[in-house]
Parts: sequence; C-alpha cells; structure tokens
Amino acid sequence: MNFDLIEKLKDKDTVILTGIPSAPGYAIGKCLKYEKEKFEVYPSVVLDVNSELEDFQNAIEKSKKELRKIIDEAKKKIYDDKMVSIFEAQLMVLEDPQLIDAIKNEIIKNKHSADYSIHSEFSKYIEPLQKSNDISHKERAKDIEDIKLRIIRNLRKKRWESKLTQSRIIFAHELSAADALLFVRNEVLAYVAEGGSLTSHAALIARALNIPAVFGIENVLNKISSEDEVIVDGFHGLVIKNPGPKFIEYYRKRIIEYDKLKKDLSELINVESKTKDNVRVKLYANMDLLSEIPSLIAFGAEGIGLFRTENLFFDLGDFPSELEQTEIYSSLAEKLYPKILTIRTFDLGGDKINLMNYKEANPFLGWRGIRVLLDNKPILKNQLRAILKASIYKNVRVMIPMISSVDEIVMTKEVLEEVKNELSMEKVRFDENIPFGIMIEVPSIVCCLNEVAQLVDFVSVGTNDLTQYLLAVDRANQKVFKLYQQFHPSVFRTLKVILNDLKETKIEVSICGELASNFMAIPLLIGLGYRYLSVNEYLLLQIKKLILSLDASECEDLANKVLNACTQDKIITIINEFMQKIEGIDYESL
Amino acid sequence: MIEKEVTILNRAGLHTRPAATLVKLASKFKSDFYLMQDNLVVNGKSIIGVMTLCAEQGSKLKLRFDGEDEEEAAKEIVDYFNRGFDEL
Repeated sequence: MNFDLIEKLKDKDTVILTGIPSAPGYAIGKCLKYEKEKFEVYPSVVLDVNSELEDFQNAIEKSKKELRKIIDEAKKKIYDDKMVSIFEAQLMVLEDPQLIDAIKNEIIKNKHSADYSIHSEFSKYIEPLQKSNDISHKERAKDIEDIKLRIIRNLRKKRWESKLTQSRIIFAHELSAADALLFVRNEVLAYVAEGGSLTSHAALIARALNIPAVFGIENVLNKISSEDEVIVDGFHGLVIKNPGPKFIEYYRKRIIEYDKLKKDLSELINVESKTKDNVRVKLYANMDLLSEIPSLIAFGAEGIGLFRTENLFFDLGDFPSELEQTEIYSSLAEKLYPKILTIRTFDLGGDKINLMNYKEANPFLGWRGIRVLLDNKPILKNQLRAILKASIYKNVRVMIPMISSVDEIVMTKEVLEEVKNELSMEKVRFDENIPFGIMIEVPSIVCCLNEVAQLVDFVSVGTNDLTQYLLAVDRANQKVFKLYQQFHPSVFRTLKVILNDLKETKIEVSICGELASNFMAIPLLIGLGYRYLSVNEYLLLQIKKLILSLDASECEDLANKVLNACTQDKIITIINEFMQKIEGIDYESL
Repeated sequence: MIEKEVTILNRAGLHTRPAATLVKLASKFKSDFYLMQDNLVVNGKSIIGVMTLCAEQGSKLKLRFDGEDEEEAAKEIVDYFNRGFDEL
C-alpha cells in the first residue's frame, strides 16, 4: 500500500502502526489486550506447611494437565510432530524429581510459601542461562520461565484467559506458541504483538491456522486500548487504529475481494500455468515451515523449489540429528511425490542462525552457507546422508547455498560421493543420480557459469543475496537501506547473463528469491526468458493468475526496454506502464 | 563408585534433546548419576539441572555413577556420549 493511498483514506485521528507481516489476511474488529499477569513473589513464612504442600502439588498437577492439553491441541491442529516436542520438554520439567523435591524441602524446612519456594528454586536454573551469550540458552531460560509462571499462576488459582466471548483481535507483548494455539479455539480475528518475527513459533502457528498476524510493533500495548477499533493488514504488516469510515470501506472491499480471489483462485489450482501465447512457466513453492505441506499441495505448487532447512533449527529448537532429518525429508518427499522436493543444505551464518556463537565483523562476507558446511564436514555429511535416504522415490534434489567458486562445487560433490559410497556399503537405498544444484547468489559464480554447467544439474537464483552482493549493500543496515534496489539495472542485466550462459545446456534455471514473488517483476522475468519460478506459497495462485493474462512476446519487449534503462526509477516507470495495460488484473490490488 | 571423563563430540553440544535423552537413560538405573563441569555438579536425573550445563562441542565432563547397577549405567551412558549423542 502506498503513502498517497494512506493519506487519502485516513481520518484525522487515524494512527498507522507498522510491523512485520507475519501471517497473511485482513481483519477489521475490536482489540483485546492480552496481558499476562505479572506475579510478584515475596519471601513469606507459612504456618500450615501441609496445606502449602498440598496446594503446590495441586498446582503441579494442574500445570501438567494444561500442558498435556496443549500437546493434544498442537497434535490436532499442527501437522508437525516436531513442534510438539517443545511442549513435551516443558512437561518433563514438571516431573523433575530434583526440582520438585527441592521446592518441597524449601516449604518444609524453611516454612517458605510455595510461590516463593518455586521462584527461588527455579531462579537457580534460570539466572545462569539468562546470563549466557548463547541465544539457545536464553531461549531455554524463556521456556523454563514459562513453566515457572504456569505453576505460580495455578497456585493462585488464576487462569490466563484465552477464551473469547466475542470476536477480537488479540494484542500482546509477546505471544507464545501455546497462546497462539489456544485462542484459535475461539473467534480470534488476528494477532498483533510487540515481540516475535516471521520465524517465531507464534507466527508459524498463525500461518498454519490462517489467522492474520503482524508482529514486531514496538511498544504496541501502550498505543492501543482494549475495545479500540482497528484494522490488521497481514499482507503489509499494518495495524490501523481509529481507521475512520474511508479506511473501513476500503478494507471491507479488500476482504470481499480477497475472499472472492481465494475462491476464484481455487479454480485455478488445476489450471496449467502458461502465458496467453502458450509459454509454459512452471511454478514451484518456497518452503520453510514443516506445517505448510498440506496448503502447498492445496495451492497447486508443482513442487518445492526451495526448502530452507536451516529453519529446522527454529522448528525443533535445536540441532536436528541425521535420524530426525531423514524422517522429515522422507515424509516430505513421500507427501509430495511425484512432485519434486529441492532441499537446500543448511544456510547458516550471515543474518541467519549462528550456532557456534561465533561473531565476526562482516557476517555477510564471512562464514556462512557452504563455507560453514565445508569446515564442518560431519554436519554436511549428516545432512547429505539424510537427503539421500529420502531420495528413494527419485523426487528429491539437493541444492548448495552461497557457492562463490567452482572449487566449492567440486569439494561439495566429493563429500556427496563419499556419502554415497558409505550408504552403498551400508546397503542403504537411495537415488544414485540425485540431481545436484547450486544457488546463484554470489556474483563471482555468474562469471564461471560455463564451468559450473559441467558440474551441476540445475541452478536457482537467490535474488535477495545476489542483489545485496551486486550492490554491496547490507539491507539490514538502516543507513544504506535505500541503496538496496530490487529493480537496479544490474540485477536484470545479471539475470540475463545467467540465462544466456546456460542457454546451450539442459540445466534448469529457476529463480527462488523475493523477486520471483513480486508481481511487478514477474512479466520482466518471463520476458528475460525465465521459465521456472519458486514463489511464496500463499501468492502462488495470484501469480498464476497474472501469468495466465500475460503475453510472453510482450514480456520480451518489456525486458528489452528494461535492459536498456539505466536507473531503478526508469525501470519502474517502464514496468508501471506495462502493468496498467494487462487485462483482467486489478493492478491496484497487487 | 565409578568416575569417567567424556568429551562432547557433536557440533551442537549438550542441547535440549540429548539432555532429555540422557535424563531418560539415567532414570532407568538405580544408581545415582552426576555430571561435573569445572566446579559445577548437576544431577543427571534432573532435566532442569542438565539443561543448565553449557557444554559445547569439545568440552570435557566428568561423570560419576554410584549404586548397585553403576557398571551398566556407566557403560550405557558413556557410550551415548561417545556416539556424540547420535549426531555425528
């Protein structure tokens, strides 16, 4: 949504808050602040030790019951058993004999109240973890803290009210996975929170359950009161307070259109994706969350063009073992069969997960992607073993991130051969000819494509990193953020070179970066000659609809004009002109 | 009483999942089981205790087993460490 439109629609007291679009969809409704009570705990002495012990035991039992319910609910609603393990670990703490005995002792010997005993015993474990520099230890501290609060709340016979009597948009400081799950039993319209991001567990659950969500709005609870009327736009990450009649009117229309679109689009699921002049453009989906497979199939993706395995660390909370990986990859491959599954090996480092707690001045130019894996062969081998074991249906492909030289391809392939030999010795079945591909995201490899072509079966262009490296701009850096131009001429000229250099080969060239899901860029990508796009799953049908209304030869003319333009502004003007002429597409709504 | 020294072999160290497996393993035996890291001693049958260890790859731990089935316990648990928590 652009600024002009916002200016046009807003009322005098409209307030627009922006956050991270964490789950798609729109909602108009009233707010409910979900504030978890802060339980102050003071040292106090009790007279009746036995009744205090009994209360404590009851609180433990109640908490266990709640956690078991959460586990059940999670198993029912989320198709992913692994997420459940987060809650299962919490359950184990409630049964920890040492912890429980220590709390009871504190009550018996020192006659301390149960809540104070709980607090002081838990703190012995939580505090050292909070002080750790390691993110995973801090996360552990949060998990343990959450259990502590659960017991204390039950001790005080309070509930965290997750029952809604009326439809409401939930506003919270931070939503836990359990919260996001429990509100869904009632009429929750949307989630808004100060904490959280696209990858937090609450976001994952919101998306799995089709609840719009916007996270990462600073101080949001101070900016909103319960019963305020707001609009949540989960596509653009907007929360609009006091929207006024024009905004509401606009979004009512949007909601109707979105519902209609969903319905219209559902008719497109089995329609082949091709342009009006019969140029076939294959649409894959990008996937990073395990729970999205059913919707991927529902949206008619022709396969997974990119499975970002590093997100297993978020999903599982820890390092996935070979066995776990094998289970996950095999089950995905099986569910998708005969569609293909492209598994990208862990892309660690950069802005992503930093497992080794290793700091460097320049992470994007540092130890990330294949560089980490080649330095940690056991991790790479483990993952390749799991991928190969999942390849028995011959619909699995393996893809390597951050390749900057031919040497790295050769070295990785050596490891792959080694792993294949091991598996053969162990008499494990796998696809001998598993397709091997690389990401094109470092400009240096674009200069070596003739040699790359001898070594790989397919390539996929990661436009986000490619753009960042072409322009030497860190897009997370506020100072230079504006220099990150998705439509910079160099991006499209490079995309052209890639296709040209691989034209004579049989190598499949796809695009899996954000550009492939950008409606403005799609006609241009098709015009440049791209025939494989790997896109966000929830945009897939909209993209298909756009492709169906395009003419490939017109797109080619567009591409030629764009290749001659020398600034982003000029390119955008050319694309805008082109887009307005496409029939059957509501240009405004894109 | 048996004491053994082990090294954490897997890349991710003693994280939540192996911690949970370790506690489940130890709970099968009657013997007491303690893990020692520097000056810190934790009860190996306590998940919350084991979770507070910050044992990264390469760090060394001392294990102590004490009780009637200490030999079996030591054998099985040391073996689990030596397998790198099945993550190698």
